[in-house]
Amino acid sequence: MPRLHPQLYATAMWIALAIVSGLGGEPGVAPTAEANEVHLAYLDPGSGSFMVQALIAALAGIGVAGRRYWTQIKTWLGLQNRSADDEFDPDDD
Amino acid sequence: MTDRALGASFRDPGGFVYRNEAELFRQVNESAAEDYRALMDSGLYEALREKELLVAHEEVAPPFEVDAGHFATLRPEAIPFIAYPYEWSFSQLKDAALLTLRLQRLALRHDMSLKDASAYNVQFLRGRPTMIDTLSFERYREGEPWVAYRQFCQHFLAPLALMARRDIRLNALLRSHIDGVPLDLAWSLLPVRRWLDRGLVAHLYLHARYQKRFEAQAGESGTEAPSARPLSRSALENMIEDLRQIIRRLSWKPSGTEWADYTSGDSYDEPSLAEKKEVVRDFIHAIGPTKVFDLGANTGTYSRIAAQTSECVVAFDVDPACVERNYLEVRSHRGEDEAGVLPLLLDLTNPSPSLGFAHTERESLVERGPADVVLALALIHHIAISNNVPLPRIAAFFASLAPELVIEFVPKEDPKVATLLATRADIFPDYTREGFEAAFAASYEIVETKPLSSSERVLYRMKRRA
Repeated sequence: MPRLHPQLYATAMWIALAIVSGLGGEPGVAPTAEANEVHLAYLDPGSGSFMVQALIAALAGIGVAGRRYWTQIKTWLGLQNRSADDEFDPDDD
Repeated sequence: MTDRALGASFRDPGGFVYRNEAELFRQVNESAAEDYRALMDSGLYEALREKELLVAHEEVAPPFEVDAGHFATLRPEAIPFIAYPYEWSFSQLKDAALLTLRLQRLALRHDMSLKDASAYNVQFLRGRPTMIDTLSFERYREGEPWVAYRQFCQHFLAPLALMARRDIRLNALLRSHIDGVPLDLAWSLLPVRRWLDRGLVAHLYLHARYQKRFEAQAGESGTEAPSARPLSRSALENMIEDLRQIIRRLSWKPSGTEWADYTSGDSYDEPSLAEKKEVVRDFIHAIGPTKVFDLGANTGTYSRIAAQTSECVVAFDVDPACVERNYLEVRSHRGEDEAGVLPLLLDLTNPSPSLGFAHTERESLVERGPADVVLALALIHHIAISNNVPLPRIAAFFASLAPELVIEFVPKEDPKVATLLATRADIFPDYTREGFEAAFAASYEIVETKPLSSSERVLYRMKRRA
């Protein structure tokens, strides 16, 4: 069960942030100068998929930083073991 | 020129793929010239080649007279067998997902970005996932969100989450939805504890909510299309890393007694297993194939024997646990004979059909043939008895896949067949060794026959009639 509590907190954080970030309100993102020059892809990226990335990336930043910190603690304590995926999916190239 | 393009090669205006005398070529159009040059000149191509993440290509003179839009012609390294995501085991789809994220991470370092994240752009080459679409890379535009994000979630995250958290058989949704599993559908199928997984809440639930909301808005007349907030490079990198961590956490372990049984192999005791292996090795050696279809391969014991002398052995099985186990085994022995084995999921009673627009985007199994030889070991009773398929039809189907056949006849006296018949009426009067030989005689001539000493089973080597 060690994973459950961090998961619960993280989920609560996500939901709270999602509400704060205006999921219930208007999208309210004014077209900016850069945005008007936006390059159009040959596939429609989906406006929702495009819009949601700013929110998701911001939250991912918190998650990624936290995870990095946590990994450092675990490595320091000697609890971190390398998984079999590593040759195929290294943490960094 | 574009009328030469293969059935699946029409979406990207930047180029297309075509075949000329069995060789594959990729045309790069003028419109994609700058992105292609950036791939080659930024050092990204070399970096990806060094790590064997992208298929190799050489620039060649076009085999035909070209039109005005032509910029370059590439000849990519040949892929022995094109497989589709709905034929992959869990770990194959997972490795392909991780490859896609790694490609995007490396691309960003070279000021480039993936413009699509289609699972169909990944193929298994020498036992490992490899990107085959050289034209998927475009120059990165600072501040722009990832255009392929939706496609990544639909092609990889949604099916992997469903397979790991709900049911492994939901990979079938990739067959019914050619552009990946719709996110709202994936979310609705996940169990209640999905709410505890912040990764899935974000990339599936929130993502789907946003899609719905903006789709509705786009339909309203007079409203300008909303513009996305600029996304910094580091924010984008964080999002890619977040997706990577979420995908890595998704896992599937086949459980139950069935799984444990696979280690003990089929119904042979050791000496006769060795004998069967020997006969199969001799038969394969006599044929000398390049490409083998091993139907009902289980975890690939005989695929590996075939791979010792053949370049490509596609090991098909209907059981996701077998394919998974086989793939993990291949992956851990990369570089050996096993690397030529490609484990894939296939139900022979309902093999992969032609799919997509005009039925030409994804080829059926038969269209992706022929192989040089079909291996059908300990298989015939499953098709003939469990599925009531008449023997002549089985022979005709195998004959459509390859000119040579190595097949094992499993008679009614065999314990495996007795089990199948224990709970049903025996409506198979022709299912005898004589009946089998007569049925197959219409499509094949028998070249060699080897009865196995410690069972009633018989191995045949057959050649398709002209």
